[in-house]
Amino acid sequence: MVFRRFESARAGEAEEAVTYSTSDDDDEIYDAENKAIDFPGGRVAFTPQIKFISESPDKRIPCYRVLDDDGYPIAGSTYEQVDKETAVKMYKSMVTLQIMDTIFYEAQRQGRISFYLTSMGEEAINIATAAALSFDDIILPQYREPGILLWRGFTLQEFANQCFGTKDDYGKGRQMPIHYGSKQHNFFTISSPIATQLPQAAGVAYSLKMDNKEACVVAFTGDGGTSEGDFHAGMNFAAVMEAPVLFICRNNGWAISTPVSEQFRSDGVVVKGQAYGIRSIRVDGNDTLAVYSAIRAAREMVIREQKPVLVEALTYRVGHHSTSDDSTKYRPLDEIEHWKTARSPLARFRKWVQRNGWWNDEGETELRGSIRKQLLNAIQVAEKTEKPSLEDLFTDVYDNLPLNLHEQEKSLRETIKRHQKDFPSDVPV
Amino acid sequence: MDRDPRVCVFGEDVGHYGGSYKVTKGLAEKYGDLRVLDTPIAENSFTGMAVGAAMTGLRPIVEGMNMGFLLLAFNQISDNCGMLHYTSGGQFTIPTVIRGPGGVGRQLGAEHSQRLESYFQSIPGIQMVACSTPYNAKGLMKAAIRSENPVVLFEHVLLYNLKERIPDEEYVLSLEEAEMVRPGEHVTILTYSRMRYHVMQAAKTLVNKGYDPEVIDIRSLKPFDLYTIGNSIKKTHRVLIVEECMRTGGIGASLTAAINENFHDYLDAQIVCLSSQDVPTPYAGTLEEWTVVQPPQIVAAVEQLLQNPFVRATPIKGAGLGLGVRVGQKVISNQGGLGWAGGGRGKEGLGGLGWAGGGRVKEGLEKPFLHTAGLDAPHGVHQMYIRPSPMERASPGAPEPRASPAPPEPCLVVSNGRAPEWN
Repeated sequence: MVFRRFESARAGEAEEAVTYSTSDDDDEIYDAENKAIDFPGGRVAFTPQIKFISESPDKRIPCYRVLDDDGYPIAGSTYEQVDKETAVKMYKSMVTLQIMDTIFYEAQRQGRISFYLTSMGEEAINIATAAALSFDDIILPQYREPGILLWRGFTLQEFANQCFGTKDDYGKGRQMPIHYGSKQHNFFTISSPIATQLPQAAGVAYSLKMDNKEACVVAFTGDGGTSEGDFHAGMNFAAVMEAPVLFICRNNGWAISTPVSEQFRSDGVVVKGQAYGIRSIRVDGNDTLAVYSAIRAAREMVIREQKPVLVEALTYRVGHHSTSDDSTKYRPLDEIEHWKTARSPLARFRKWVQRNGWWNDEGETELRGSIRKQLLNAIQVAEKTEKPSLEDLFTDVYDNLPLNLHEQEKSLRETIKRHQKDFPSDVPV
Repeated sequence: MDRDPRVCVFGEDVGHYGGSYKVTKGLAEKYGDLRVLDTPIAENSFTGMAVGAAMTGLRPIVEGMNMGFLLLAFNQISDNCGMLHYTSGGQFTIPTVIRGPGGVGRQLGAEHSQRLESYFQSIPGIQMVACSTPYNAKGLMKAAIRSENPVVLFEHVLLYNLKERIPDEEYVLSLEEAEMVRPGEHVTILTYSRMRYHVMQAAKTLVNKGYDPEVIDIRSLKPFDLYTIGNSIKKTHRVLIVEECMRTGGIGASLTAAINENFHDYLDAQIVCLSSQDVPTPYAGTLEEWTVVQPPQIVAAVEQLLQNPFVRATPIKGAGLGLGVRVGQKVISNQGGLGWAGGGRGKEGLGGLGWAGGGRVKEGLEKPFLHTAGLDAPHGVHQMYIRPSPMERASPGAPEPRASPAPPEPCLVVSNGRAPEWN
């Protein structure tokens, strides 16, 4: 494929007429040469038979899988080879992510942070995607992708700082827990409303196009996010503008309490790609190697062809939506248990890694103990650290403080001075 | 766009079509259709796209085909444009400019006649400016592009055809400054965008009638230029706000609150705000005309404001009772004498003492006369000029009325800047 960089965003020539029906022999298919019609959008063959396209394919689109449930490579599977170092790092990161989720969740339950959201069950998507991308690829997350930050070197202490909103938080304590953002890690600050990052992804890709960078944009969303208008527009824009965006949809079956059967009636999200003229693939999101290979391939396509690609990763949201949710109220406990244990992505990958001789049980216990200790330490440090000072309430609204904010800050400081004892002591003034 | 390669334009039909109001005409030919990008019809999306591009270092300008359509982009403007610099801890800046034609046009219907400044004014993190002349449109646009903050630039559908000579050399105006359109002494008229022209038209009529309005185009809708506005109020003590927004929650409402908070003591009268009614803009031409403030209404409002009996006399130094009015001294108004004496607010001796209480003003005084010293007297000093009436009966303790109309005792003249109609 020729390496193309566009100076223009003018949409390419419309595809040549797609033959109307390929499989049925008893249709009278007219010769496209003689009986095709011109319409805006291109030539199109016609047929005198009235025929509707089915609302769902005969068979659901199969998902790409490499390892079976026991961690054995499936016969005949093609996948990207992963060396020992990468595999071990991936596994360790998945474990770290899992423990981090567990401990922060507990911290919220103990009242030490106000909110938390776990990625349990989706560790493979998180880590394998991160491993398959380059550091220069810009991430626009939804909120269940902290593993990418983890992979890129965000420390446990930095995670804790954000969740506790201390002065060391890069967000200066302004966002809710788990709404991480780090410019140096090319990870855009998370914004709570769903799917707002998808059109922004098109903008970032546009910027990369202008800069001619060897990088792509990776935008995440969940199954619920595909219902948002921004999903449609973001996908459509990216396709029209030929923007190098890799859309990853984590289809974990649940949008808080809404199951996918109530979210859309299509065959999942992968079929939506074609509606926008976007190449797509469905992958087993709990299969680390499959996700790794799929993302590698997709990224390659995105950068080389400067076109968007959609990856639907099927998975299951093992945890509750967040600490504000109790999912046992709307789904059966045994379903959750099943996905937590029998279908755990960690267990599956661990089997493969251990079978290669790259990991063992001692390493496991040692790792888990060590991570746990580090996390508890990080939490302790974060709890003791000062909160951001009062001036950070007013800075960064604009580049410089305008007059009204100066006044408001002054007024607030005067109030605090008058009522010193009513003001919390751990917030520096 | 020449000066900075990071500047780009997104919008519907902005490319080879040149924009629905031809604002971007010729740009696509010059800079290519990647930098002047035609987007699909999804305002929330291309605004979001601008946010994403801005976070990565570009300086996008988003054009809403009509400002009203940007309501579809409200989430991206409010939650992302306005907030991301703050919530990311300053890591990401959003130097976008969001612009488009808004305001009430000529029979464009309700959805094409929106005044979005009222909806956006609360959003923390954005700045809002409204341009009104070719000169300030260019200057404000340049300033907006160079600003690190997201700026919403409100243009008006009916002002695109204005022609004006503007300097050849480069100039950038300040985003936070108001523009003094016509200095004056009697009343401060605050306005912006198209209403500036209605106000200036009304000002012509007012000048002919002898008034001297000060007209300020506030330009900066968020934040308000309270410095310029305040200086004007300290001079004139009366404010009229003329806007195109609807009454409820419009720019006028916020401006009224801000002025009341900051300059209450300088006001001699209640702030009058002329705005559109709280109705969707109708299509029928006559109805549309009456939903927008028209010059005759402005003239009437100014006249009424300057006749407002709520006058607060400021004490003159060395004056006896602190008011300069001695008990028993007569006070005459050129307003027909009615409702004035009694209309005092009872504040600082006005209306209580020597005046309404003294009963020196009789209703229906013949030939009331008030020398309007306002034009000569230093402004801000209210001097009341009293001329005894030959029909006066002195009240007990009052000094004997003078026999002849002596030259006026410099006392307190309440001036409204209006030349006396009678002598």
